[in-house]
Amino acid sequence: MRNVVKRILGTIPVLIGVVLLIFIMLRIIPGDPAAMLLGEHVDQATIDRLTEVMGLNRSLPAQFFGYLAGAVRGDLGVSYKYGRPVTEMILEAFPYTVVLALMAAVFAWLLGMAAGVVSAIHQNTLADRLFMGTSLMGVSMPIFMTALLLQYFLAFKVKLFPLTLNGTFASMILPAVALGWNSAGSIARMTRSSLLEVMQADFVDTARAKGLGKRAVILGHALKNAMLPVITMMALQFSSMLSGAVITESIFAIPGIGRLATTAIQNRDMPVLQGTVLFTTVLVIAGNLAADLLYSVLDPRIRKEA
Amino acid sequence: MENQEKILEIRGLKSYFYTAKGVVPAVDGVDLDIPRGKIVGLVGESGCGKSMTAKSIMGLMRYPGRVAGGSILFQDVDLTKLKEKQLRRVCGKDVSMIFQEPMTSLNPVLKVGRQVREALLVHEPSMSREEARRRVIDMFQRVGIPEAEKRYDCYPHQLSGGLRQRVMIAMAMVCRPKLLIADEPTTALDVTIEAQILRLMKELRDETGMSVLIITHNLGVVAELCDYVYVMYAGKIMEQADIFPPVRPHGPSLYPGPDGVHPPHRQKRF
Repeated sequence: MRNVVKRILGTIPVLIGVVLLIFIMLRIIPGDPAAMLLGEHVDQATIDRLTEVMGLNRSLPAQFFGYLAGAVRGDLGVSYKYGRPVTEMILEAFPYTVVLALMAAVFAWLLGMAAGVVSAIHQNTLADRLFMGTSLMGVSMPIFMTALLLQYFLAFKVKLFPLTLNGTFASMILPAVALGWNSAGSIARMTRSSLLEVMQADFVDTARAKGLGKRAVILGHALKNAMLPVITMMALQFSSMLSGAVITESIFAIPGIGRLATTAIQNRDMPVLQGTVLFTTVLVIAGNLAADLLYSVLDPRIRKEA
Repeated sequence: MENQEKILEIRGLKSYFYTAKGVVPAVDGVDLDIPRGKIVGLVGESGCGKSMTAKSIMGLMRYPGRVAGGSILFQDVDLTKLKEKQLRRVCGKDVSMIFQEPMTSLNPVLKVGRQVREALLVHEPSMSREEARRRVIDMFQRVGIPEAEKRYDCYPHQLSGGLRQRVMIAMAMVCRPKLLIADEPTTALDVTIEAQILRLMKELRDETGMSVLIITHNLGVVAELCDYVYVMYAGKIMEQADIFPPVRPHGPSLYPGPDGVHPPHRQKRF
């Protein structure tokens, strides 16, 4: 428990660093947000007035600490473009991303683990080669390609699924598969190699000597050991799905966090962009923390004596 | 030994490894008998095929190794002819095995009590978990694990090497096997623990009347524990001897000759 608190406290400097980095980067990129917001044919006086209202004429440190103070209270500023609180916009978009990431993760976990286990059991058979070949394809295909192929063939040509999000469960399936495809591949490969390694361990002989059948040995003894590295990967993948579904969300028109960030970039909507990046950073850090904690749940050797 | 009832008769056992560079005969025509209720030692240098003989009995040979010939008669059933499923029904119940490395032979992520209980439940599926737990704790006490109730819920890394080996023995004994194969059960332990473990095995044999095949390269262990001994070299049985009366300075055929050459060409059978 003390470990957990320590780990959480340790993330604070990371967060402050990230905020600083985003803050500086957004100030470096060209383009005046006030001018951008007002559009063409506006005189300089109006732009100056808006700059003042938006607080952009303050010194950079003042802006930074002002933002930091707000962020701690959950106030991420107000969108330049829409005039709405950023926190509200993020919380609105987040559920879409969560559902998408969850579905993608479940798809990737089930498919990846199943393929990995089958491949490991039937090592060097046709099934193994087939699964591993497919998973290599999964690992090496970029998401935008998978997504577009799925959309073209299964939604446009065959019309099995809706083209884009329309609020139904069916319309979430293609995006989830596209997003999870990549992860499924790497999970399958990792499960396979990890399981094969564990099957060499002495305790597998012990389990067989006890009279356990192949299935009981693999599912009851080997898999739990083999899953340790895989679980870490799963947790990391999940947090990156939560934060990095930019392409999938754009292709399937899902109004999640990724879309929020891309439109914010197009609109020079700094508070929104800042907010989404900060938010996803928190998610990734939480994901890492969860992976570590999960690890100690699964592996008693890591558990600290209380 | 000839006129005693045998629980295990191995005849011409061949276990080969089929590697890319050729066939390696790890066990090359081994004949070995284990009389009922006796302790038989199998000694020999590292890599001479002792462990592979044991693994062949249990059907634990791994790819690219396999039993290539011969027979292993256990109570008149040839174990080499059994299907994997039938063999698993024998293993752990009638024949059980203790491994060399108590540190790695237990599953690190499962509680030791559960691992022993599993050995019981797989052969007696109708037994309730409570009943099985009680049997396991009884067995723990029997093999000298102090605070058996508490140890039941321990993970392997929380136990010392000696305790882990006792857990392994409990696991092997919990189904009351007729034959116990112990593959260097004390090699990884220090001397005082070794003596305790050996005494325990002898007590368990006296108590249950089981037969024991103990693999070792420690002749002291053989002298202390065994009724018969087999000496193995390069996959073959070199000699066989009774321990009592302990007259024979066993192992002459293992010493190199004056030319320093090891003796396969000078082998003698007894």
